[in-house]
Amino acid sequence: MTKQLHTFVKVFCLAMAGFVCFQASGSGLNSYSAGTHEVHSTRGASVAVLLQERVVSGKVSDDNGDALPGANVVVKGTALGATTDVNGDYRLQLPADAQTLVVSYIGYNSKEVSIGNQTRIDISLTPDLETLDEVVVVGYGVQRKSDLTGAVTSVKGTDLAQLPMQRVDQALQGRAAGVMVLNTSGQPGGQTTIRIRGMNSISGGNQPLVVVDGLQGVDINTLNPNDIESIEILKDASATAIYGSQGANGVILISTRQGKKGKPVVNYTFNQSYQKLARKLDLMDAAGFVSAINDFRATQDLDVTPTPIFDASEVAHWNTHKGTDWQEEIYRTAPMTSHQLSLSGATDNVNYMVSGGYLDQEGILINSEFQRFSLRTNANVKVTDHVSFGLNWAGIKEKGNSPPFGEGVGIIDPTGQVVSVAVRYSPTIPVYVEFGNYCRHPNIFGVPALWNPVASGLEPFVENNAMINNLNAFLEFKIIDGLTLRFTGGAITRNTNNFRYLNRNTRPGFQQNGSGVSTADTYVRYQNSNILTYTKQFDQKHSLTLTGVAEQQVQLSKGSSITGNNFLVDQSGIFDLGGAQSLIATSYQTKRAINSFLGRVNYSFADKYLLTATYRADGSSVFGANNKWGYFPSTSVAWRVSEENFMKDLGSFFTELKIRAGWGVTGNQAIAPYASLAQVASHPDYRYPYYGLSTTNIGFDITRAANANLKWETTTQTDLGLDFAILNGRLTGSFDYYKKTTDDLLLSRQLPTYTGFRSIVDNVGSTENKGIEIQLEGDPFVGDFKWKTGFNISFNRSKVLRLSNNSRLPFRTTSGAGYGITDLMYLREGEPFGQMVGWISQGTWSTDEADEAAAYGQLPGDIKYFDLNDDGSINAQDLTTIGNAMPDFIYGWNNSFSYKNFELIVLIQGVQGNDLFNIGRIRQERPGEGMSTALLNRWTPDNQDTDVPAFTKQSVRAAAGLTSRINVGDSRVSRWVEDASYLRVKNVTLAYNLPRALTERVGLNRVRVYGTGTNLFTVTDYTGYDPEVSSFNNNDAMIGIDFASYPTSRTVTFGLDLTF
Amino acid sequence: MSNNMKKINNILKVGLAAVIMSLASCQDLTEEPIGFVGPDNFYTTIDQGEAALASSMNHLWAYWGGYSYGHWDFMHDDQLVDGDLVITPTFASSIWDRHYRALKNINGVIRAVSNGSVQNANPSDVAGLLAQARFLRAYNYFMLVRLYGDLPLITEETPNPVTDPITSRTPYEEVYDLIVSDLLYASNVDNMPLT
Repeated sequence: MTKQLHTFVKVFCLAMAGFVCFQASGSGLNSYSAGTHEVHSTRGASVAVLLQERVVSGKVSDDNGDALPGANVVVKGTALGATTDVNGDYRLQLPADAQTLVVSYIGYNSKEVSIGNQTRIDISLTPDLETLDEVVVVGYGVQRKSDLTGAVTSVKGTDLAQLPMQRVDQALQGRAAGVMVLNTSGQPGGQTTIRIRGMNSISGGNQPLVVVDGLQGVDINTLNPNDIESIEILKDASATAIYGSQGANGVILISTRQGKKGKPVVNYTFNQSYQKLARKLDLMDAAGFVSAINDFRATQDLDVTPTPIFDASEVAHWNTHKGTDWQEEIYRTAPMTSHQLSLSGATDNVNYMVSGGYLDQEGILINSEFQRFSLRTNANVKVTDHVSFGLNWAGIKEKGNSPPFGEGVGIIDPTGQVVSVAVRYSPTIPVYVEFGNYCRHPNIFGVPALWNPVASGLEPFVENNAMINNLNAFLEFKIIDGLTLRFTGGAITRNTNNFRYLNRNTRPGFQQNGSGVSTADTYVRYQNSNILTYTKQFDQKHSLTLTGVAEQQVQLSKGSSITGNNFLVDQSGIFDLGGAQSLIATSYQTKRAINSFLGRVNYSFADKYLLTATYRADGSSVFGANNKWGYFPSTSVAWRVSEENFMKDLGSFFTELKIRAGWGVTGNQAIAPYASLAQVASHPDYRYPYYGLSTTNIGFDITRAANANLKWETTTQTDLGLDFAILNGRLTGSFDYYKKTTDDLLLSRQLPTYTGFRSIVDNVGSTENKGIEIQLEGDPFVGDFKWKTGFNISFNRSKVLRLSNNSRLPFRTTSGAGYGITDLMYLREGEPFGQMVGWISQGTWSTDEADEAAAYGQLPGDIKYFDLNDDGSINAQDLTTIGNAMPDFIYGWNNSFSYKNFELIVLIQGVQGNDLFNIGRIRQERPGEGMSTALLNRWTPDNQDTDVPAFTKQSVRAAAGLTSRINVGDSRVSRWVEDASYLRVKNVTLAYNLPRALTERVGLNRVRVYGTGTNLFTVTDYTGYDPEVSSFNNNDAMIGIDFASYPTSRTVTFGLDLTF
Repeated sequence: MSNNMKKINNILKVGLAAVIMSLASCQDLTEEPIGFVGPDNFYTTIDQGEAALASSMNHLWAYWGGYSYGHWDFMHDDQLVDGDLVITPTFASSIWDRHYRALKNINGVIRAVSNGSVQNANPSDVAGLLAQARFLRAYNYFMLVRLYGDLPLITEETPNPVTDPITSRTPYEEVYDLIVSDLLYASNVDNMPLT
């Protein structure tokens, strides 16, 4: 198979080469005859500057008279130049012999103006209708935007630069249709879930491929947002199929900044932020809690007279004392500082950009911090007219820590968690007792096992270190006119070294006599892509670009982990593992190799009819022996209706009108390395005799069967789109409809047990996603007062078509002690992703319904469950869908207003129609322990319209003599399902650009001061910390559960941006 | 340089580029287990073979499976506990399941060791390992055949049942034939392990 491909590629390349030669000889073009380029000397010019002071200034505007900020004004024949400021003004010192200015701006025709004796030259540029659109980056190349035939959304770096941001994923939220960004936790340096056009895969991951300057597989959060020039999001298969078996989840292409011609530019940005918990949960104070506990205690009156837990003097005390507010104790106002410095510039042959960034962030949760140092050097050198090379290097050092939060796994059980326990820990308990010891929970009420949340937050020692290098280099030859060969080599290295120690003041440390873990992991990814591109225009009307690529990639992972328990010495903790009396060590090593060959044809006829066809063959080591190579074709066409004469006859209403259609196949290499191979493994459980009790007879079991057929998950996508620009480009927009079917999903398939195995991972499942995306951009106001606005909205509908042996698969099969959640989330054939299954509660029984309630053995004030099958009892037969985590639609609305030197940016973003299961409420609203103010709204004869059940006396219940017909096994009840739709003012920035005249006195080109509010306010009915949350992210089938995540913060930032 | 020369020059360059492209060295896509072992590179020492046999024995005990609890269905015959005579598809499956998981490991040992996977060892030790394995196989089938009668009979020579499913049970007589031949092999004095 490999051989055939080799042959195929050789033939393809030679055919291409032959074609090129034919063209070259046929047209008689000679690439070397164009060697009349001038070599400019800048030295003479700068000497002249010293000798003679001569200044020219003016304004660059478009044909409407609107300023063009960022336009280049260069003295012809020199590297001397200036960039216009936000008002379109420039100012330039001229050498004596300067005669002509060259003014250029992307998307406009360049203009040459002779200087003469003028000192003020205002220049107006006309839009270049041919290249009205900028050039956009596509996989393995660039294309004019007007030539695109696929669904691609661009986010410009200039839009991002206006907002202070520490993470690139934040930059994407609300800006691009079809892109869902879910900030799953507020932890500094935490992870984000990005989904492009829904979720295809059940077990293989749905995170899009991130490609930075051609380097694949970069972690988007390690990028410094200030280094970004542009982001392109490839959504449909005709755009992503060129990434083959890594393209199914969409591709995010990021280009980093390059130096631009003109004077070297030094930019410094400083941000100082303060973060605060965006919303506090509404809990009772000590007085309320004490009375709720006593009220509940009074119901425990079966055959006894209950004594109150808090006696009269304590009640009196707490009526005048507020008690501990545990949320205040564990959350804080946290500062964040960032510095950014960059230097960039270019001469005729060299361009460079060097940047450094430093971020120091405290988290709003005590004992959480994050620091990042980042350095980047981008340099490109044109050696001769035919040879150039470049090197991009980014080095990142990260260090972070946070106390463990979330559900609690392993030894860190739910009672020792900081976030979930803080809202369950009684306000009557002080933080500390005498000698500075943490106060423990008393035994007489609530859940005594709960651990002091301040101890759980402050005491863990956590240090997560990461060193990341992203490196890529290229060497490019222009072989003959139009034919380019580019060799690229790149590497991503990531070393992580994490330490954690839980001392005896933490619950797990207390139980284990100190517990620590130290892990060290190394990940290396190498990539070599060799790209041959040929561009040719012939007979004026035909334009052709051919791309051929041979690529290889290797990923290596290695690591080890040591867990120690039972430490004699708490002080040295994890850094003296020798002091641990019990050690468990593990280590691993994996490798993944990919060989790829791909080609693309772009053809356009008369700029009206466009065709793109791509084909990629991917061979991967992780595929089973019988399926080593996967093939991924795509094709798409577009018709630029606006270029037709009949449209031009209609006048100039449409500046652009394009209809697109595309189809393609992409894959997801969801397979873990070696998953196709059989495995023999040891485990303490395999020892003989009796399950690990023996230390001598180690057992090795064949734990996994080989599956030589194992292959990628296949997504087939069709896209129909329309792009338009009207009113001279003042209103542009795109509509897209897509339908994706994903087959061969990796799931566990049951095996007959005579094989000795229960199941095998196989390509069996199938899902579908379809949707509509609308993106609009416009300039409602131009002139002195400007308003630019962009709106996008996307609708996605998912459906599970086929699972393996079972027509439904449960997820979230267990949840931490005491919350009673089993099999909450389901995937079921014929139903969408994100289904929640449980019992429907319809509030509480009223006194008028006493008879009906009695039929179920219930009293007024008890929860009224919905009897799905109407059989007079509530049991497993009444389980049904109680919510869905997938939104009906997501949207974003960006606005940028400017007037003179002021700018106002407002970004609004939202999600509509999704549900969240709020697990925390199960205990926060539990009678006899919960502190939620919801308990104050509990059912009483005077307050019957509530879903909070009554505190019914046991004696009353016994007197009624009813037999309960409610057999609700756990807490999967619709009472905890909440509408999580929200609309959020994500970002408001007010900026002021200091007048040029002022800044120039201190030698500055541009000074911008600004203030920003992030997450300023959120409109939602959701009662948890934040509706944008997902606590369990290892599988998309579990999105939609909120449980003890690190809460989101509201941030205020002040910033200063200086350009020299 | 004449025009022709330049043309030839161009052709050479393009050809060179094409050659470089196609020669771009390829990664070997054959996956070899690193960091773990598979049936193809395990069973290379007597100890490894015995470790596989140890796990086979553990399966017969295994908590909630095997004989510690899995024989429960046979003992009460659905009369003692539920008494409703609703026999679910998984009823009494646990013992079956555990014996076949044991047999998977035993056949793994027999297959590999018969093919000479154990090198540089005393031939009598190798024979002893095989004898142990064949005794255990006989034992497992003996338990199975008395409970279930005709069985899917899997030996070291059976094609991989994961990829080639077994479509019919082997008559119990043939199962007994295998048991007898395994026991005879194991009881041969020359094959008996010394301890």
